[in-house]
Amino acid sequence: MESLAVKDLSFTYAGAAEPTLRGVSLRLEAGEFALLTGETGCGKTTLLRLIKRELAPRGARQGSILLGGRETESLSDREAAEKIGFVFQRPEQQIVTDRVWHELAFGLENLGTPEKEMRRRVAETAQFFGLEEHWDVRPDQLSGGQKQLLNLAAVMVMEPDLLILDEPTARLDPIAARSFLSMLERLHREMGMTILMSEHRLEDVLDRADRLICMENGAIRLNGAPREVCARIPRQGALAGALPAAVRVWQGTGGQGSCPLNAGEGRRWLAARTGASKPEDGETRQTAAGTRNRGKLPARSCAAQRAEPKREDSAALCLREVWFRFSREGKDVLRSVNLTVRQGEIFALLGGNGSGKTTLLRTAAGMIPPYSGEILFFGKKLKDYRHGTLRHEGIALLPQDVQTLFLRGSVREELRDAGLRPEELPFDLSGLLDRHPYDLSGGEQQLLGLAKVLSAKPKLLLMDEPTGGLDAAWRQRTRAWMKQLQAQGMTLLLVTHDAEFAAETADRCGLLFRGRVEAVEEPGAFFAGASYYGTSVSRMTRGLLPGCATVAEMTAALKRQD
Amino acid sequence: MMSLRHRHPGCACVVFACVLLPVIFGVNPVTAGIGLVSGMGLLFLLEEGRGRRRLGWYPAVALASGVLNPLFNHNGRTVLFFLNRNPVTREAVLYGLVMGMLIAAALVWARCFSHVMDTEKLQAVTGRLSPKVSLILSMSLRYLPLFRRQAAQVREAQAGLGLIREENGLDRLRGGLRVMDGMVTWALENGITTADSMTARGYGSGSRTRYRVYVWERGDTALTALSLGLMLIVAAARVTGQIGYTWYPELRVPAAGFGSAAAYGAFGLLCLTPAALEIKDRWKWKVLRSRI
Repeated sequence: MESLAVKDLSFTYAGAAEPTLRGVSLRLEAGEFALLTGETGCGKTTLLRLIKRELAPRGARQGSILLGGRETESLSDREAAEKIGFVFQRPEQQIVTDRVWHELAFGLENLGTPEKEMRRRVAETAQFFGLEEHWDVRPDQLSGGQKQLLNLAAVMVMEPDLLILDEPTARLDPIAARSFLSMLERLHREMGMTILMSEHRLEDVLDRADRLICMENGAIRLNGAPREVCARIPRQGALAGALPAAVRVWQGTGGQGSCPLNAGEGRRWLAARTGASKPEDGETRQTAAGTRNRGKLPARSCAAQRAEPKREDSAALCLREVWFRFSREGKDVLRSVNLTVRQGEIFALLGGNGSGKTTLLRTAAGMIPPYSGEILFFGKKLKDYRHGTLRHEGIALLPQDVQTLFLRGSVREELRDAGLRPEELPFDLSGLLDRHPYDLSGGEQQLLGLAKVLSAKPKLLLMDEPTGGLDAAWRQRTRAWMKQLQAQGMTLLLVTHDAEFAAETADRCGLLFRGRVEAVEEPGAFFAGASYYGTSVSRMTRGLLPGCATVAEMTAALKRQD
Repeated sequence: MMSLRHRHPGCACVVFACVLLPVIFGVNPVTAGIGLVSGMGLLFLLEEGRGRRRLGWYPAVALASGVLNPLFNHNGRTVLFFLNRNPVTREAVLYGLVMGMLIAAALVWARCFSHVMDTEKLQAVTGRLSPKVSLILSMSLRYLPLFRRQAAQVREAQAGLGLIREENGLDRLRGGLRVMDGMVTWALENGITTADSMTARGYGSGSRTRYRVYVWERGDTALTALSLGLMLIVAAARVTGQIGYTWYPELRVPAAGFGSAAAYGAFGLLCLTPAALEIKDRWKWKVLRSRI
């Protein structure tokens, strides 16, 4: 049975010259789980919003959208609200009320559902989503992942026919993202939910979907089963960056055999390819240990290929036994942190939510004082710097939410405030000068934030989650400007949960766990040792192809073998 | 029956109203006194440590009023003495004392009210009156902490840029204004997502119903009926003038009789009920625990 049919849909925003969507057609069968991918600005969000009538942007529209065979335009207000559920990207802003139970009931209250029916549905939904224990809690006390689960539950309680999600995991850490995706998969498998989700990182989700739809410049380029579509995506190009590491390596080495969609499949594919004993399904971990013990695989490690940067061993930032807690009664957030960041290096500190990453950065930037231990910035204690001197040609912090840096109505005013001239910037913002900072894309906002932060000419740049919510192309650009700043002699310390990015960018990586730096190594060694917090390449190659952490390294290692 | 804290918020509201109305309307030393003493008893049960030690302030309010009223109010026939050529009358002293007891009783019961009713219970009651008001209240309660947290983050981010120097007051003020300016944009911008999320979930698509967290039990009906009944006895006595005091120009105490005795008895019972329920509840727990 057909659930959704979009026929020849074109759309031009009011006041825009170019159309955003050009002749988009797609069909979804009931119970299908479809992924929509494409670069930022390709029209994904516009398409999704047009399908959900209440959110349709203003502009000129041609073509038709049918839900269960009926034009969405002809649905009553109530039906339109009820039949299509919509989950947005930002977890915090879509929560309306001040209690978890009220948020769950909100949609049903709006529909005028009789109380008896409402109580049953709210109770069922709360149980299914594991929200019972948070029933009376205020939403701002939930973690980002819990908030997004609440948003999903608050939509599912209305029992929609079609569930639309617009990059729902872009703002979550990988562990929260995976548990959110597992919940979606349960809805799909157990409840037969029809799902249309846009996503620009397919690593953990591609293997769960029935269909992959790729958009480019407002049109659908490819549409079909994930394995077929992956085989047809050009290797170079905007679309390829979104694909899981296993697919990219498979593409890069000539695409022999069936395309692996996740790290587990990639591992089996690699084992078969390198001729080692093939790990059996379900026994992957055991056999992995086995192969490592045998260890008679190609001894050439990828790590040896990394150029060792030559520089003097002086520290830009040095934390010695730093302890921090927010209040006297509170528990320690940083517990005896020892960390040395060498001058001119890019240091990536990885860690899950609540490991103290952000707190560590704020402490290092001198924003919050530790209660014990000392922090040295170029050999001098942080507290010995006067406030102004530390900010000028000293330490700068690019916060996770770069919007907190913007206070003006346009990019031009923001730059003028910071005493910058657009033509002097290391990157081009000239096309955006008259736009409102909030109207920029995530990547553009970050560049503007960076420009403001760099205006004080810092020697040390601290960055909190610089790739959060960015697509593959923008992550590539972020990597490029970090390298550029490094070449100019700046020292960079970033905290992130993006292991792939750290492996590609950093000179050294550290793991922060429960307020303590547990391991500091170069990416090759670091990720070879990591299993759960590794990159998906390191998970695929562990014991089979030692020392690989990035797609490029793994592809190169495989090519050398051939 | 369970203590007031575990009753339906609507029922609790009725009980508090039934206690406060006779105390506030009608300057009567007996109702004010009963209200003050019983209220302090209840508050003693509800408060802990520091709060209990603060109980002494309520009688102090009454005494203070007794001292202050005659300084400003010179009505009354029975002059006790002159202060700065102004007469201090017996009527004004007594009226002040009773007025003080009345105020103290109202304060002490208001304090009890805030112990029994949290914001969520209040919302449940206001929602009964108007679902719209209750939604606005709920949204504001959600938004205020969000706003405060974001403002703190903006302030820190700006300080990190070195754009706010907190070295003198003027700079700090200027910085604060900039932050406020930015926060307005932030609030409007995020309001759009929230509004989208509301329309996407059918807000405004028709008449709303309400999810009730609290269930009305038989005990609630019983307690409400009891409180209203007792309050009506007091009201009846008051309307028929059996407990009406006249203060000026000369104190006139109403004659004691069956009506006033019934009214005071009923009011005493009404005021002691919440404390009695609270004690019973705790005693029950003690018994239960000793059996485990």
